[in-house]
Amino acid sequence: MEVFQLLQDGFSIALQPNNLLLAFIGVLLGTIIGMLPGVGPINTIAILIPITFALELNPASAIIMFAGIYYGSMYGNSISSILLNVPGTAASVVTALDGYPMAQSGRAGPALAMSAIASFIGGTLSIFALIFFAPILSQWAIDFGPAEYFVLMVFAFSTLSSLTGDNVFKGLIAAMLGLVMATVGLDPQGTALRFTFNNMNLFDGLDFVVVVIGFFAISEVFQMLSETDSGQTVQYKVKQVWISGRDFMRSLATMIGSSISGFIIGVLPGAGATMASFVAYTTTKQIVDSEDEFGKGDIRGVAAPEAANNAASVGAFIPMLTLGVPGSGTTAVMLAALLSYGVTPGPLLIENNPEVFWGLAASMYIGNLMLLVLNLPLVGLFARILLVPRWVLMPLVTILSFVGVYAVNNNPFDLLLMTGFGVLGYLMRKTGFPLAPVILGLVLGELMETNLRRAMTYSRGDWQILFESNICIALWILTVISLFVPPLIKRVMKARAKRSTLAN
Amino acid sequence: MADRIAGLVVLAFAIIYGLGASRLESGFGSGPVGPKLFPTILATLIGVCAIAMQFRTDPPINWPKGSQIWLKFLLLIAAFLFYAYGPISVRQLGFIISTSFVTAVVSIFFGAKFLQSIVVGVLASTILYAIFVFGLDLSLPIGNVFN
Repeated sequence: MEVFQLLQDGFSIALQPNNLLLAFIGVLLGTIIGMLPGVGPINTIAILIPITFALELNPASAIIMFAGIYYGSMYGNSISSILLNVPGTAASVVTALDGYPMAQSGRAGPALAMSAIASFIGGTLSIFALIFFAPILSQWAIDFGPAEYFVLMVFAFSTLSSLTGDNVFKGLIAAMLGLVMATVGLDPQGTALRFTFNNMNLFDGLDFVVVVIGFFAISEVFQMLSETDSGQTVQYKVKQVWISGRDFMRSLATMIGSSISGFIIGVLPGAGATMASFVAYTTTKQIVDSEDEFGKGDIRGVAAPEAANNAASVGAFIPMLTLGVPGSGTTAVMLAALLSYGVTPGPLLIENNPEVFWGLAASMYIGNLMLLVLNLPLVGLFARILLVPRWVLMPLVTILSFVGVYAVNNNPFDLLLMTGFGVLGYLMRKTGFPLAPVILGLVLGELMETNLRRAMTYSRGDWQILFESNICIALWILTVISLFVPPLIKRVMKARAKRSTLAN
Repeated sequence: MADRIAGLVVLAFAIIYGLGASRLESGFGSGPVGPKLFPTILATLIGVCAIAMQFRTDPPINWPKGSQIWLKFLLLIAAFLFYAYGPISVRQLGFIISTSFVTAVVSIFFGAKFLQSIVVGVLASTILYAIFVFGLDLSLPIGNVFN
């Protein structure tokens, strides 16, 4: 079959020594940053973009490393959830529900092993689905015109906005703030300078690396500063990181089911790994928890969210790669990275840049295998990183932010912007505005406006074009659904979660 | 309450942004829709969302307590600005010295003792400088005073 030939080509790229090394660095870095609160895949990738430029990596190599950071962080985030009850990223919040009780009762080893194995199963199973579905979606999207693209982006914004945070309006404002930032500088058709206040530094627009580092890294420094506690201590000794055959067999069905649901949720724009882990946990609990053991340290309560969030992180690549429209903050940053490398994700990506797609897919197999091999024996060692005090960690985050920002243009004005966005990001966090939509808006803003203007040029100014094709109409309907249904579901889930915590 | 105020701030922003958009002029060859349209749509929609926020109540915000935290915030912002511009900026004093200074400030704010903060600042700045400049071939400022 053709797919095997292509995948084989992909492996020949992924197995090149430099790409193997980059995948390894990516997954190792991902595990570490996933574990640490305060640094996540979004700001790590943003900081690394200018650095990969300096290294003159080719796009396939860069995306192999960035992807490794993303799915690697899904392995790492569970470590702090289990050992400290402090999730490294939001995607492992539910892992703590059963992982932490397991650690408290002296079963930290099995919990960590289960998390690594479930992550591996979720990660690798979903790569099959990626290889299968991405080309199909590409074929389908190849007929998209500017109007369809514009409406597709509207849909992506509406889902992400309504799924992150508690208030749809805040999500929408955040997304549009990103779009507003994208309008700074020369307009897409190069005819007008907009919102530059005659400041030369703004003529080229706001660099997304600067904005992302400000919003995600610097605002996190402020956030951590306002938290009173200064680091935790790991109380639970990690002995043998292994699980019994019985535990494995018991969790197998859970892992497979959660991988499938996680993948599907990951593909949907906006939902992402956090939602996937939450859904997997609650459904698994309903299906298998006959003795009411969940929440007290049931190993399947670790298996479900970890398989799901890894599957979702792979699924999230599909809309980003095949449509050019990412559905999450992290994939938005990766899209921006690919764009700055001159690779345009979209229906033609697999055809035009097969090395990027197949090289990435193949490297994900290798990366997941590396993670499993790394995590099982070394997780105890990784856990030590949690002992690094905040007064060492946060200065490091600050320096890396400075380097990332300064490396873009060697311009002190960018440091000023970074600080400003850091303060704005902190205020937005505090007032409950989600930050991921801002990044999506910033990254997609120019494309969105270009597509709108192109569509209007084709139709000679007739708005009807945005509602003409069936695809457009379907997307508008989905947009409306996305704005009204998730808040309802969220309310139901919250009520249910409340009931279950009360019951426990 | 906090949401109402946030909504009003956003509304004010939308109005200013919208006014800015209305002053834009279409250049030659910009098609049936000029550079004005997209920002105008955004300003309108942001305004609508900001007004909608007035009718929803959300849980109150936990602002950090104590004036000490806010003082730290201000000092940290000041440190970042001094890092960007002025006599002790990264351009003047160079990456290692200037970064050591800011990093030590951050370190102290996160609970380091004075000596610890100096060690963290100097070590981290020097090691990272070496990695980025010699290892990764990035250019970071040496400092005007040393030129």
